Amino acid sequence: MPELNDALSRLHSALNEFLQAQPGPEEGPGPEEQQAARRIQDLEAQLREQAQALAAARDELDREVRGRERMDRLQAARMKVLEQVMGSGTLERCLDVLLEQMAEIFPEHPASVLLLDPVHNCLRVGATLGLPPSYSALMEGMKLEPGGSGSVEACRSGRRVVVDRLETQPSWPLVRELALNVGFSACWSEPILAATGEVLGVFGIYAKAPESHDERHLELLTEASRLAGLVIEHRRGWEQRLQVEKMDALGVLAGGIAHDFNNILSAILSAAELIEWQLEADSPARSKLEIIYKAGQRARELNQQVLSFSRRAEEKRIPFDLSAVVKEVAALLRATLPEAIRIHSDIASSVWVMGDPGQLHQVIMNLAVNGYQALKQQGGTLSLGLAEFEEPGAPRMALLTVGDTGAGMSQAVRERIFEPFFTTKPEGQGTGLGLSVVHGIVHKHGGSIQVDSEPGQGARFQVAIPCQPPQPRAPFELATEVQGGSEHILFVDDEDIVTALAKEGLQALGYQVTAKTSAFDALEVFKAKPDSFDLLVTDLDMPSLSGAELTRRMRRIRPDLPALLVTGAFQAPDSPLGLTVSFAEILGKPLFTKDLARAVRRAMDSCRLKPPSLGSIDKAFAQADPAPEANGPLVLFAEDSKVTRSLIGSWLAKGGYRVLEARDGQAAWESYCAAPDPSCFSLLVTDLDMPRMSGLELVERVRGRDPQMPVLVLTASADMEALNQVLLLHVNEFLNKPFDSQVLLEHVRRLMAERKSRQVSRRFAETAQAVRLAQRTMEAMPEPDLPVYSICEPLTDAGGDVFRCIRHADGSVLLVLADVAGHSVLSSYAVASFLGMLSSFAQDGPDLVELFQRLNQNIQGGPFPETAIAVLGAHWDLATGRMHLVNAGNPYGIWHRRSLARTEQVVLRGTPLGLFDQTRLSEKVLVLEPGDRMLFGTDGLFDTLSPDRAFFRDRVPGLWQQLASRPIQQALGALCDAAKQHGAGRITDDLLVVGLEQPPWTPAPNQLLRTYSSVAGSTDRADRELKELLAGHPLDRSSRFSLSLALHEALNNGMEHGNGGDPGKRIALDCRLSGDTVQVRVVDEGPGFALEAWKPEISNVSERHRGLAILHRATAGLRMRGGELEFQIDLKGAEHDCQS
Amino acid sequence: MTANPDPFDIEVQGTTLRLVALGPLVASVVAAQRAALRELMKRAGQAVVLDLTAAELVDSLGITLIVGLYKTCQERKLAFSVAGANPEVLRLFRFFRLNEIFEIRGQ
Repeated sequence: MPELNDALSRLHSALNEFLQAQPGPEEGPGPEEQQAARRIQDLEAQLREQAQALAAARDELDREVRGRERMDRLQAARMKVLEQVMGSGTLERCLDVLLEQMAEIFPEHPASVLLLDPVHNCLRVGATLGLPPSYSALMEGMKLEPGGSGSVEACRSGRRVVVDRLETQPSWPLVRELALNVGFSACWSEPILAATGEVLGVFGIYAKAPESHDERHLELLTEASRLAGLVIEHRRGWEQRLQVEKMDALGVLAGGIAHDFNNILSAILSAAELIEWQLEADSPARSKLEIIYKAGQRARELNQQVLSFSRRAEEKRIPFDLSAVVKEVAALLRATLPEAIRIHSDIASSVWVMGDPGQLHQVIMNLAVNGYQALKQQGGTLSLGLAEFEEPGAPRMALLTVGDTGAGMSQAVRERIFEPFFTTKPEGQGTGLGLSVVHGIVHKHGGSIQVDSEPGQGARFQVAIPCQPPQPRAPFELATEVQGGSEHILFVDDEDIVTALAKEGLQALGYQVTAKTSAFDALEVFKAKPDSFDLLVTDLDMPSLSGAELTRRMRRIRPDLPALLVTGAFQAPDSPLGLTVSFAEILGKPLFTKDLARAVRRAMDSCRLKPPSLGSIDKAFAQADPAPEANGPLVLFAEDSKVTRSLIGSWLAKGGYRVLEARDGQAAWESYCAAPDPSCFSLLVTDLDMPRMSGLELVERVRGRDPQMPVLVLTASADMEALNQVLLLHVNEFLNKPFDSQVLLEHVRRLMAERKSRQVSRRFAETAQAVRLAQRTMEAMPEPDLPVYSICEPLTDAGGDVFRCIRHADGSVLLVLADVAGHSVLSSYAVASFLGMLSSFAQDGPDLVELFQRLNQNIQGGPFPETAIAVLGAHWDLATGRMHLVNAGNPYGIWHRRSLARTEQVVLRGTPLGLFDQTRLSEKVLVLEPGDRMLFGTDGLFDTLSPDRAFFRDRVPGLWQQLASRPIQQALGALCDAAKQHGAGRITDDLLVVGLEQPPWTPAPNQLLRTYSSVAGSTDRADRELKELLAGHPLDRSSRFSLSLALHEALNNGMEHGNGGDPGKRIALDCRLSGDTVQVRVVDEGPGFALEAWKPEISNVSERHRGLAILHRATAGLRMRGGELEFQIDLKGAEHDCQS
Repeated sequence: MTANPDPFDIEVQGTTLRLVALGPLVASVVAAQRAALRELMKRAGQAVVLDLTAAELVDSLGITLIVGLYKTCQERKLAFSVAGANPEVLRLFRFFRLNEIFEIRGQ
């Protein structure tokens, strides 16, 4: 304040001059002058003190303003980064955006995000801004070893490292030299932490001149690293989910390939069998055939592994000799591995275990291949061992050992090595699934696995599995053991070779065989002479008609027809994909003729012994099974990607739905038209981009026939134009790829349920437009001139939470938080509809309860009558702090009371609107004192992140109090972050949080606005202060008496009954003189009471009865709502009030 | 002769105990006086007179106090009356029909 100081100096000089210029006694100033001078000096000192205080206040204010601006910018930056995270940006792009946003705040500071590579124990450059390439290159791959750099130290310690003067920093010589060369003089590094506290990387800021860090830098560091943590965790999680989806799709693909492969194997093995039957017993070709059998058997087991990977295989549980499997792997490795890798094996003979030979073969192979990978570069020894061991009191175990002399593993790698998708191999060279699969298989066999390894010491895996007693070996089965017959068999398989070979083999055994490669041809033949066939043998998976459906149709003609089912994708009878039609046996491919012949014989003999039983294997056969009599709603599903179609079809089938799959829109439309009754379809699920006919056209056509058909659109496209067009067709749901089966089935189930209850919706185009409007309104809405802030993070694009702030002409505002049930497009329609009603009814500022009742009526009478909408309304008069709250099903509010240094819940319940004709509302009136803060939120914040509400109940009040000194916007952000951390970032509902702060009161001149403690004496004080307010108003004795009496009764009631006589509770009084009327509002902290329930009595029953009787007689317009007692006193008409 | 539990003056005139209110009989002053007043009743011989000349205001708690005094007198078979009530207080008593229970005299 130099100007003020100058002014003071000038004033001081002028006064001195004035005093000196005064005539006085020659001996100097007299006592009066001295006194005056002292007073001037005192005044001067006081002025200086005030000037200093003023300057300090101004500096503080400046800091506050700058801080708020910085927080606003940080908030904007956070929103941009989060937008990027929620969008399709890669990790690198998200980090780039983060740095760009931080540069907006500190443009002069280069910055970097370095990611921790735990496998190689080093840093990787994630993103940089303004960093010279040489510096980035130095950082890339920098080991986490002492003396590396500030970033390394921050990463190692998990703590912030701040260096304000690099040139004086003795550590990190290499980095310091380069940093100084490129012009960096200071650097600050903040570790990037995951929600679990794990270090993910480090955020660094650099300064080009020596610079002391201050609060701003630290704030930026904290925020930026926090955001970086969010970005990294989110994107990595997303990528992992994507990988899972890819693996699922790959599984489906592999399953399909394995199915075809089984058909080929069937042909080879069946042909070999037929040749064997034709050979003489001593033919030298028999040994060759045995090789074909063994190779075929191995191929069959490998195929089972593929099916196992795609989760389609039956898991065997048989006793077998594990040593034979280990020896086979050893032989295979010797034949295939380079000479630089020595194979050492020590395999005990005859070690029997119970389990699946194919799966354990896979275990040994995966471990051996893992060892080979470790030895590939420099060679070494790969060892395979198998032994039995027994410890006292424990079962005998088989111990399988696979070791290598390679580079070994660090502890960090060892700890994660069995995690799915964890790999130390270069990108694209490993799925990270091998050891995870091994781990799973070993545990399924009741075993355990452990790994011993140190860097440079190689690795040794030890697998222990319970042993079984040895079993006698099965003799090689000869063809002569197969028994034939003469029955007539109808054999159906779409594979020509398989059909021809099966026919030849069965005919060779004496059977009469009719073989067909088309299910429809077989059906025609059967229809012509149904009684001429003794047995049906059918493939399951045929393009025109499934084997199950073929059997079902034949049994409509001949219910006792025995049947055998052959399938390439073998399902265990108790697997989720069972069958609804019964089969005598189910045979897996590849099929040996002798196995088929034995099954045929058993089926025929069984038929002779007992009548056929059709219900022996009744299971839900859901896949590709549109038969009307089958269970489960029928879904028409159009998707042009075979893999996706198969994957999603299987998900739907697992969910209990029958699925009619179509390869594109045209095929789906043809299926729809061909159906005898199109209403048999309960749901249309369709992709958008498809050849021949798009999903858009398909939806339009189907909706043209059946406007109520629920439609779920699957899309990976960001084509807004197409999405808008689909909106016009009133699509019920969108699902953006990728998604998992749980999400899909959840949506499908909801649509099915809605189909039952929903009426035809109206005005598609208008509603769709409203949806888009609703989407926009759900964004956080700043109120620049109001101390109200909100954070809204919808779970999906079609969120259901919305916040509105409606200003009234009298300066008060109406805040509305609404949570529309669901997160679907339908919810958005309901949001749009609700907002329309709100804007229509709320602008005139009606009574809040009346507003809610009107909303309730209109929701029920509107287009979405069964939609529950939880609504909290707060009518807030900023001038007086009065806040009238009405709640219908939203969570409590949190009230931080500054003057009491206390934070408490404002308990309000109520029933969501839209459900009942007479909805139950909960209301409360608060008087917010200056500096008080309120926090409101929808259930998303509290329920999804803390299902037991423990976070909300136990933590939020404390947090809201702790954050009271921070700008409210920042406090809201911190609260949301804390909530997310509590819920480990898993959000399953929209988040909407609103915070507000009461500004200073501005009572009118004719208004008394005070709060009092609930203690004796407060009533008398209030009475005095009211009389002071009315001092200028002529009051007769009677009016004065009535006024005092009413005030006493109202305050007594509030203190004794509303506040329970608790001196810590406040009572607020608001009296306003208007003409000859005094309007009085007395607000206590209690929930309020129904006046009518307290019938005024003039008897001597209780003080409260008497008090209410007095109030009724002495006042007009007496009303109680939510703890607020309101009445008027007519100062001219009061005289007659209390007269009997 | 007198005990003086504020806000009352106590005067014993022969067999009559006279309680003289020194100010309003309202919540802030009456709550603590009930027990003390009941104790004072023991000094009364035959009658109790409550003098409200200085009681500008009587609220519902004040009325409770007065009704309590009346009941205590009933139990002790003492006559009870109110004197000196201002017109507004008088109207309030009439409103509660206390004038039908015991004697009330105005100023």
